[in-house]
Amino acid sequence: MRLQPLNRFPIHSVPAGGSQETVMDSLSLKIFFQLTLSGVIVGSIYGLIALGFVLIYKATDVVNFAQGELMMLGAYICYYIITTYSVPFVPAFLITLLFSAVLGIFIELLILRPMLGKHVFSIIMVTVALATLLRSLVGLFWGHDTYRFPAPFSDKAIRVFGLSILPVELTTVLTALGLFILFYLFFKYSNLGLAMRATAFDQKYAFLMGISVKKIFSLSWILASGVASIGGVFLASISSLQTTMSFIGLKVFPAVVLGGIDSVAGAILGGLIVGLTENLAGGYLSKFFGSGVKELSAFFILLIVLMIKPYGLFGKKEILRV
Amino acid sequence: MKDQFILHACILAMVIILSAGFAYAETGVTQDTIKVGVISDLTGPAAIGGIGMADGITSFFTELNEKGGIHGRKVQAIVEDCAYSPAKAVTAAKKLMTNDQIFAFVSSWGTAPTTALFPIAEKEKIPIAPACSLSTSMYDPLKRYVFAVGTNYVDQSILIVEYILNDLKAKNPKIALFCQDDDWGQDHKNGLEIARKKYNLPPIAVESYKYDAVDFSSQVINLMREKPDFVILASAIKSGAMFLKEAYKLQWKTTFIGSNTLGLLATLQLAGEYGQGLLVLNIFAMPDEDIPGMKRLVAASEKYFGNKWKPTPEKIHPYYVYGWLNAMVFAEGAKRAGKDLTREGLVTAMEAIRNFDPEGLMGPISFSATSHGTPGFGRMTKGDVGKKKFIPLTGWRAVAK
Repeated sequence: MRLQPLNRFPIHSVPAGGSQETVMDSLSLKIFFQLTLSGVIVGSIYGLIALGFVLIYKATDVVNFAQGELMMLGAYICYYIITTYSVPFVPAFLITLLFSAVLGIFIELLILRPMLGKHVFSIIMVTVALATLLRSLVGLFWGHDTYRFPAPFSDKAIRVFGLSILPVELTTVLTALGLFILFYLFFKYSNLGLAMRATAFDQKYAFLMGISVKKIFSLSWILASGVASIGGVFLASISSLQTTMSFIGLKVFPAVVLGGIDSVAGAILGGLIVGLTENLAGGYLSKFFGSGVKELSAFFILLIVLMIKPYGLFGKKEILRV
Repeated sequence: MKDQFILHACILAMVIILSAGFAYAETGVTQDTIKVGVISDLTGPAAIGGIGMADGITSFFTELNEKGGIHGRKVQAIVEDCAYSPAKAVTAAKKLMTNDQIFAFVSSWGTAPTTALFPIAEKEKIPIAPACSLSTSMYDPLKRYVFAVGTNYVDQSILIVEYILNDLKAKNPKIALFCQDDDWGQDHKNGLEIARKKYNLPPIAVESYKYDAVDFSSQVINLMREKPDFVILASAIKSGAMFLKEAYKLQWKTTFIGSNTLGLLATLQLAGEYGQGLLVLNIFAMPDEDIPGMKRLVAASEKYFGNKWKPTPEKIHPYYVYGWLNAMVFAEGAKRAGKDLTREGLVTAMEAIRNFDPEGLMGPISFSATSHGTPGFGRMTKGDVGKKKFIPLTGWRAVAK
């Protein structure tokens, strides 16, 4: 055998164990709060992505299965602007949003509009195709490596009452909250928001009332694409940049259904509920059922909610009369 | 009537004999080529390793072909993507077998995708020689057409525990495991259980994750509550890095040791603060080592891929070396099988490989009719982000018997 022991390298000894005085030592209540906080953080990301689904469904009745891919593309565009043109994070982020808006218009105009009036199933299949197309295009341009996202957030955690949160996580939660309030006000008070709701309620009547349904469709794609980019940039900052991050789109689907697929409040709350359930179940039940309980718990909650409220927590009830 | 029948039979027999003279008897083998299929993850979650593995294989075969190939035949490797999905691996395998008419598979990537190919290998009697998976399920139970190279995960777990006891001199250490919830994680669990019984250690705390998970906080908190002295990370790069980030966020000070799957520079870079100085059990030689096999590998990589894998110690990673090694083992088997290469002949020839030295890239390789896995060696290394490499802390070791 040719492999000789390498004695020239000193054997480092790492202090075994050492002092382990951490947040987790003192109170079991703290563990509960830390788990809750983690649930809120991941729930905010779920909520941001779920919001994209809702914005499109609300106005156009289409479930957009390319939502995860739009999110991934946004993150890659931001990464590209930052690394290639050395643009600082914030302007790069704004350019990304602009790009997403244009992309939203193009997708609606070129791909979705010709499908207007076609069977819903066909339209959904088109979005599935769009997902594959976007994922492959991103792979062609940037490859399938895993990248560290060049976000300006510090790795040092902020500590409040013994709980830890990273600056990027705090920003994500605040952004999700801000967007929720913004969209809530938008749909409640602005003319455009009301027009969108009217279109969602009944396209024909909205059209007869002088609302440009086409414009509304474009707008919903712009908003959804923008929200997706925001979610993508934050998700990439928290974890890393990779084409497979788009799969979270499907993972978030239970959150969308849970909250009700046509409700903004439902999207955010659905995301939060799924995030919280996953973390609390992972923290307290994995001892008895194994770690897999973390992923299962969301579907369990979904099952119960749909048994009681078939249209989701905040979904619009549709009664079919024959 | 009877004479006519004999005449027809004779003509038929001659046609068969003549046509056999033109085409070689075995699928995928002609007078001057051997076609092999490579299934790897080029676009999925493990693409960062899978692309390197595929390039390692193709560069070895290209170099081999320039030197004359195997018994005058050039090896043609056809690469297909499976994106780490078992279903896609089966589709890719069927395409390679029907369209490309390959002779054998060299490296199907990953435990789950390769497991999906077992029934095909069994039914079609096509060798997977060798697979690119370190799970013991590749050869336990023994499958006639499946071979594997590299230190398996059970041995890796034991090697890590022995490092903790012998080098770090830990007394009665409490060990925890973070792993993926599949055969791979199960292997690590089994290994730790063997080591625990052997060295009489406290119970092992285990937390697992799904391969597409994005949040690991509950796993980190659960393991933290157990207050282990050492945490073994048997995970993919991204999940391992995110686990370390979360641990740093919660100020968890303990010693983390990664299995070979974390032995890429990307892990250290993604993990941030806790990536620096991370201990990783590596099972192949490092790209900057003064070893004949490694010099050959690096030279071939520069020749066929230009700048793709440069700067060398930074970009060439263990999976690239793994791919190269797998191609080398296939070539050795095919060479031993002789000029009349058949699938059965390849299997028999590979089973006869004993103490084959892969030019120092890993320990000696041996197979037998009853064992299609290789004896395991490992070396503890420490990640150095500044120097962009892993620095060996120990020599090569085998599991203590």
